[in-house]
Amino acid sequence: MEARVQRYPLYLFRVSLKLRKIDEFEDSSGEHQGETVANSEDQDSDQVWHTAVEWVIREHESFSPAEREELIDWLNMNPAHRKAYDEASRLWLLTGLVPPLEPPAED
Amino acid sequence: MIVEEQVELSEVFMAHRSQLRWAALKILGNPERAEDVVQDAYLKVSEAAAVFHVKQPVAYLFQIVRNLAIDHHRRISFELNLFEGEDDGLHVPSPIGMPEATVIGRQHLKLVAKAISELPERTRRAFELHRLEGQTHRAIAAELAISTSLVNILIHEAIDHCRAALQSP
Repeated sequence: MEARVQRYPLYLFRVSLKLRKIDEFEDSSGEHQGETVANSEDQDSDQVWHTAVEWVIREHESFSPAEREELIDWLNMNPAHRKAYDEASRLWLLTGLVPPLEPPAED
Repeated sequence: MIVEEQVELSEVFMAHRSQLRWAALKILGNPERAEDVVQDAYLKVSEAAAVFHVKQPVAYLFQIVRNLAIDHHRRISFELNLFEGEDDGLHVPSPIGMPEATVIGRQHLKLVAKAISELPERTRRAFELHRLEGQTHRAIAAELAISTSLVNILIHEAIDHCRAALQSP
């Protein structure tokens, strides 16, 4: 963790609040089973999912080498990030196989 | 009927195979990878053909091959980059699980198609322009006369709806 902090200070600064929440949750697992902790975990996982989808959208539009680096940093930061990204990529692949809805006139 | 459609789309695929391969080659710049993508596209199209009635098969096939080629291209450089991270002792999943190897389930395709059809008209249109026609947020915003940030919100809504459909079939 220390090595990553040194290597990616800018990005960590941006998400430091979220990371701290995850760390607190992990450190205290088993001790705090309260609703507050569960809700905070849900919010974190929603946020991770949203970020993962945003990456998948962005990488299909224009993707600079710097953005690619940022994505790789994000993926390496937490296994949950990689999991959400893989799910979003798979969903992306599936939606691309669905043909567009035909206009009614063609039926 | 389902069998008929599958044969039909497969025939269209075979009739255009060399052009499809050329389309993949232009993106990938590597004949072997282009061939991999075309074979992968054939498998996926066979699954999709069992589920969907495709009215413009040629355009659909080129769209699938282009999408897969772009994904493939992106993945390769991307996985190489992830490998570099291993020197730092970071745990990175192996690149074996490429999306090309992902098995596409017909049931999942049906659920996603149904989810897309359930979207509000504007959301669906924004998503189709983005995902199927490859248009930028800016172009979609101009076409639908909405802001680019709303385009982004609509695309997220569409993907979230598809995800929910897969999670609770």
